[in-house]
Amino acid sequence: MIDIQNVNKIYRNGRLELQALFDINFRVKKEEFVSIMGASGSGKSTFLQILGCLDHATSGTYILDGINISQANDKDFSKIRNQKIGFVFQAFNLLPKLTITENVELPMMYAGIKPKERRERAVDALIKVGLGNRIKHTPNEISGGQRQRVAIARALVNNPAIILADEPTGNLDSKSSVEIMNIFQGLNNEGVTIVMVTHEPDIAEFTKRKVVFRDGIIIDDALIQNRRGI
Amino acid sequence: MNIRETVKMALKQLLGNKGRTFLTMLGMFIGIGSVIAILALGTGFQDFFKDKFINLGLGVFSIEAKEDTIEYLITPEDVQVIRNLEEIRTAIRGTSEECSIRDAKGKEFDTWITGVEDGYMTLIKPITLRAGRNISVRDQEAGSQVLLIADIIGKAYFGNIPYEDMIGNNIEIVIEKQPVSFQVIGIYKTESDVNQSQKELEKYYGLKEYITPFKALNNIIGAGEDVSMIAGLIKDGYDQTSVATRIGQILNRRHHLKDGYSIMSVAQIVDMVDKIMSVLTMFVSALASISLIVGGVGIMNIMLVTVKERTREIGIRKALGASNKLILRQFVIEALLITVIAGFIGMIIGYIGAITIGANFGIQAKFSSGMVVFSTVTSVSIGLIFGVYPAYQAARLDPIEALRAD
Repeated sequence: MIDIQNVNKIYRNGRLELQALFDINFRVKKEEFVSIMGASGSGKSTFLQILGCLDHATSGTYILDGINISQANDKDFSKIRNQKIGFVFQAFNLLPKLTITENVELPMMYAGIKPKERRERAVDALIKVGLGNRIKHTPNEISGGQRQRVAIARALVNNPAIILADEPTGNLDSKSSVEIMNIFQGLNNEGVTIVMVTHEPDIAEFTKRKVVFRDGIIIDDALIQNRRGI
Repeated sequence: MNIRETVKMALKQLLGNKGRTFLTMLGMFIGIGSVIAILALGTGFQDFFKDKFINLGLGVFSIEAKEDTIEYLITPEDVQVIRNLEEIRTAIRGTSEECSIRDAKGKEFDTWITGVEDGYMTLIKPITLRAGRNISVRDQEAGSQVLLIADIIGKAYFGNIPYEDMIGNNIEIVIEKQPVSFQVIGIYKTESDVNQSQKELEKYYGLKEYITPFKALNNIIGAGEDVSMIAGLIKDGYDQTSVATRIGQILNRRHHLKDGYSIMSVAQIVDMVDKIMSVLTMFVSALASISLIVGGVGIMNIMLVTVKERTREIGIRKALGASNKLILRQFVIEALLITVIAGFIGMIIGYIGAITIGANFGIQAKFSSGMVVFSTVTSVSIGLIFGVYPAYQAARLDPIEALRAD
């Protein structure tokens, strides 16, 4: 699903150069559930941005679902983000003026799907994350955990190759966090591939494999022994 | 995502912030509204003015000597020469004299009496008689002291009696301090309202609406045959301005003068007014256009603020797959919607404004499809000119940076 080889990322700011990633090699197979951990400044966020096609690697190759991303331009990037990637953010990143259904419709809108089909698929996705009775609410009318479920529905709705979650439980209480992780586990069991950045070890325990970054390199990559949940 | 959906989304955005949208549009309302009103009133005034002069008669011209000396005065022979020109229907001498009219109670009102040769009341300034007859050739030759007066003056002088009963009566006019009695032979129609009180009607004594044969007035004031002013009528189908100019040249040559006469033709006046009004309308429109530019800058300003405020939204949309092109389109369409809606409302404001103002001055505002085209083209251009830059700013935002924004 993901094949990353010798990826480097160097930020240039005038004369200053800062290397955030050093020769990263990383593979994710279909139906994996990977957590990425590391202190701030370890390079894990940069890595997620490159995975998410929000940023280009300085060098190296990145193949996502058979597509060589290394040669993609900005226009290809937006299409790949739309079709292949589902984002779940720490801050939910829902548009407050739209209803949750309209929020879930957004990726399909950019994919050029007709309004009627969009609406049906959005409602289906919301039912799937347990919000079938809230479809006309706006994000401000529901709880944080519910908002993150809307974001998951939105990430799923274009049937992406992979879901990228950036600290998805960072803004949630522990009860909601567990709920969200259970949803991720359920999706993963259905065959959805997930890569999740977190700094909470107990949240990482819900995943199948843990990758640890430090100073721009991967220092640890191991399967989780005693998974939580399930 | 097609244009229709983008428009729908932009509309929703604008309606979500009605107060700001209205204020943003205000400059455009005023700009488009005032340009439309000025153009409509300008055209209306031009037409109104033209109508008035065309009623007076296209083809009518008048020539006035610039000096009152013997070298300049126009002789009967001059008039004959002009009258013999191919392009000329008629040319006549005329003279005007200050006088006063003495009413039944002996009260005097200052006014002007006009003496004209045959042809004036039939060709140059045709009249419609309410009663009586026109001045005849025999009156002209004999220099009879007969008088044509306007209906309104008849009513003022004789009171509210039938016009027929006024005919044959005498009116006393004081010319050069000598009272002279004129016999009323005809009452002609004017557009003035004759149904007014006696007191009101007295105001009309001052009008230049007393016409007598040229010879009669000339005899009374003891003037010679030469005059300082003549009037005439050019035949249809000739270029009136150039014929009038030619007459001037003929007079100058006959009098060995360089530029001794001022010539006025109705066509010339209409042309002149047309030109003045066009320039004036353009000038005022240009001024009003400044408010359009100011309005456009206002729109750009608000759009830039909007982009700033919605940075995070832009980041989210980009993360979800919106291309730069789609973001650009979304913001350009928002700007276009603002200007096009504002332009449309401005057009309505201009329309109502022009009709209201026009009604107060008795001018009928004239609208044309060109004005609709103008408003539409201007609105769209302003939307594009001032909308593209903010939209470009939005489109080029880095999604990572944008997602970090508050």
